[in-house]
Order: sequence, then C-alpha cells, then structure tokens
Amino acid sequence: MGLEYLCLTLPVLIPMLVLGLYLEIILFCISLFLLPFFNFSLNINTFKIPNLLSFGIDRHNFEWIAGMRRMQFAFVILYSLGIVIGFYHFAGFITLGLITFIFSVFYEECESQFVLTFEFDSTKVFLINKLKRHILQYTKVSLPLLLFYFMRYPEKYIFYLPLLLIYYTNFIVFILNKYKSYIPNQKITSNRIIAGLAFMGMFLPYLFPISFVLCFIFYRKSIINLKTYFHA
Amino acid sequence: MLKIENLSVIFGEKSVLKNLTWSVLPNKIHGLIGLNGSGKTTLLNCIYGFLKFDSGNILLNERALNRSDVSFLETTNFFYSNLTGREFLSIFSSSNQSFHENEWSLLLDLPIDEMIENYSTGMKKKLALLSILKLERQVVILDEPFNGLDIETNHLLEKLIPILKQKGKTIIITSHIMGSLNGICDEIHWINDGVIKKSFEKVEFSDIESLIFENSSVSESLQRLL
Repeated sequence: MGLEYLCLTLPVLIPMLVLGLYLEIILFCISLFLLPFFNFSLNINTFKIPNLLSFGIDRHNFEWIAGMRRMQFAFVILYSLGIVIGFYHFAGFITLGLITFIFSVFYEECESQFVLTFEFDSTKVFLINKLKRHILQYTKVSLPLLLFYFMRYPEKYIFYLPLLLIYYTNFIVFILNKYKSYIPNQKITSNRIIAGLAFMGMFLPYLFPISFVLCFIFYRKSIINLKTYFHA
Repeated sequence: MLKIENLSVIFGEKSVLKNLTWSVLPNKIHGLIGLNGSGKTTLLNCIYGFLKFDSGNILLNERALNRSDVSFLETTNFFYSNLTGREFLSIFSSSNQSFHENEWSLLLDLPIDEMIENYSTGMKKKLALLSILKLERQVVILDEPFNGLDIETNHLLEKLIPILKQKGKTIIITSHIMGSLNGICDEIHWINDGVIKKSFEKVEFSDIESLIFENSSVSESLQRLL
C-alpha cells in the first residue's frame, strides 16, 4: 500500500527532488509508508452521531445526509479554517478545494437498484437530475465561503474563478465515478484514487486538465453502465 | 388490468420464462407460487423493470407498464448506511398526503429516528414496507413479505394488504408459506417451468399443494433414507 501511495505522489516528489528538499522527501516517504497502519474509519454502530449539519440538505440527496453525518467534524474544522485564514491571506481559498475532497467520500457507496430507479425511467434524465441536485447542494454549502473570499479579496477574482471551475469539475467527477462503476449495494473504492489525482491537479498546473477530461469520459461511461439497470 | 403477453426471458442457453401470458385483475390479491427456479423472481423483476425481457409485452390498462406504476418490496432489503429510518423514507417523494411517518412508526413500533444499521431484520422489512406504502403506486409487488417479521407485524400485514386492495391496488405476493397466502389471497397462480401453469380460485386453494407435489416422490425417498 505504501508503495502505491509513493507512486501516486510521484508528481509531488519529483519537483521536491529537483528543488533539493531531501529531508522533506525522507519525512514524506516515511509518513506514506506509515499511513496504511492507521485506521481512520469510524464504526458508526457504536456511536449515535446527531447530524448537526443536515439542515438545508435536500431530502433527495441522501449521500449528503449520510456523508455529513460521517464527515461533519472534518467539514466544520476545514470550513472554519477557511474563514480564519481568509482574514489574513487570499490563498485560504484552497480550503474550499480541500472541502470538495471531503465530499468525494459521500460517493463511495451505491444505493439499491430500487432507490436508483424508482423516480426516473431514463438513464439520461436520472443522471442530469442527479448532477443538478448535487451541484445545487454544493453551491449552497460553499456559497458563504465563496462570497467571503470574493468580498474580502475582490481583486483576486482572476485567481479564484479558474480554481472554482476546477473544484466544480472535481465534484462532478466524484459523482460520475460512482455511477460509471455503479453496482447495486456495493462500495466503490476507486473514488479515492480519482480524488488523489484530482487533488494533485489542484496544485500542479500540468495536471489541471485531468478533471475536465475525466468529466467527459465518466459521463459517457456512466450512461452506458446505468443503462444496464434502467434499460432505457 | 395488468396484462402480461408472451413474455420470454433467456439467460444464456436457458429459457427462464417461456412465452408467459398472465392476466392480473385489479382489486384482487394475487399469490404467486412456484418451486425454486420456476421463474417467479424473474417474472417479478420483469414486471418492475429490474430485468429486460427478450420478447413480449407488459401492459397496464392497455398501455405499456412504466416503472413508476409499480412499487416493489424485495426479499432482501438493502439500505444506504449512515441514515436514520426517517431520512431513508424522505428519499421517496410522494403525493400521498395521508401518509404520516410518525403514526406508521408508532403502529409498527419502528424507531424511525434511529440509525438503520441498528435495526433488526424485521425492522428493516417494516421500513422497506413503509417506503412502498409512501410511494402509493397502482401495482404493489411483495416478494416474500412475511420473511423475518414478528408475529404482531405478520398479523398487521395480513390486515394491511386487504385494505390496499380496497383502495384499488393490484397486489402480487409471493411466499414459501402456503398458509400465509391462503388467508389473504383472492387468487393463487402456480408458475412452473417458465409459464403460469394454473390459476386457483379461493375455493380451490386446498387442492394446490397436492397438485404441485402430485408427482413428487419425496415421501418415498424420506422413508427409504430414514
């Protein structure tokens, strides 16, 4: 597992090597190899966690209701951090990108075929509606942070707009990745790899187009995969 | 009326449904019985639209049946994790104004504000049942609805199904327990080898078991083995 992480982080490690950050590289590699030994999962059965952030979530967006219950603490910490950093530096806008990666976890589980198909008869109508509802939800959640940054640093909009485009594209990719691999009642692990690639794309300009390309490929693949279940 | 005409489903080399034709009258409770592998679940999956059939038609009141006409209680129920019962029910949008979650949860003794992961098998079945009641669709398919239910809920379900019938629904139930079907069904249909072999009226229900197992040599085999 550590080796896989190492391969995935090569685009970060190579520039570090070029810059001669040898000590940082050693620490980074050690932490990568230690990462698999930590268990970050939370057994929800042993806790009754109230969903403090469920207000304002559309009842159809069950991924968000369930996801917020799991990730609400990480979400609140990052969101607050985004606001606090925003008072001192415009680059705090990156926290919205990090929050978007929290949302990728929401799309790791596939619903039952009945829940998938009960509302719409056609694959395309289903997928477009799904994207619409979830993009609206994403916008509702990120709007306060967006407004804060655009009001505090209005001159930086040139920096914010392309980043915002990447965040939205990443978010769409997470949703489409679920449906391109959809199998009723199963968990999808590939979202973590996709999130890793998209994460690097945020920091490395030459990886920027990855999300855009994936968006188109995954949409087509989602339609093909879902047709198996909708027959339309 | 739900009308199934010449329905065929082929899995690889095997023909599971063979030009099956079946008329399901409305305002009646229809039991569907058959031995394992007779095509029962395949037929139900075709009616709901889980499965694409190779040929034939399924019509509701002389027009093609849509998925939105049918609600389906599956044998095994899967629920999305990290949701409460109430949150799960809220996924199902409904125009049914008379559906009150709190009253139903009280009646069924279901803790709808608890996490579904903590529910027993019977509770999960009750929750799945509530979701299809909330959808309030014309055709109601109940695949093994009595599995995993406690005595009280079993009794409640036996009372509830005739009320659905009174509301004009077309109800199709399958069960491995003949006794539970005998009590509530108006007609029982026997599916065998991919076709509806025979339909029984209420007065004929007592003949069903003897007819199904007429050529069975189980008793002789048991005598020999024991």
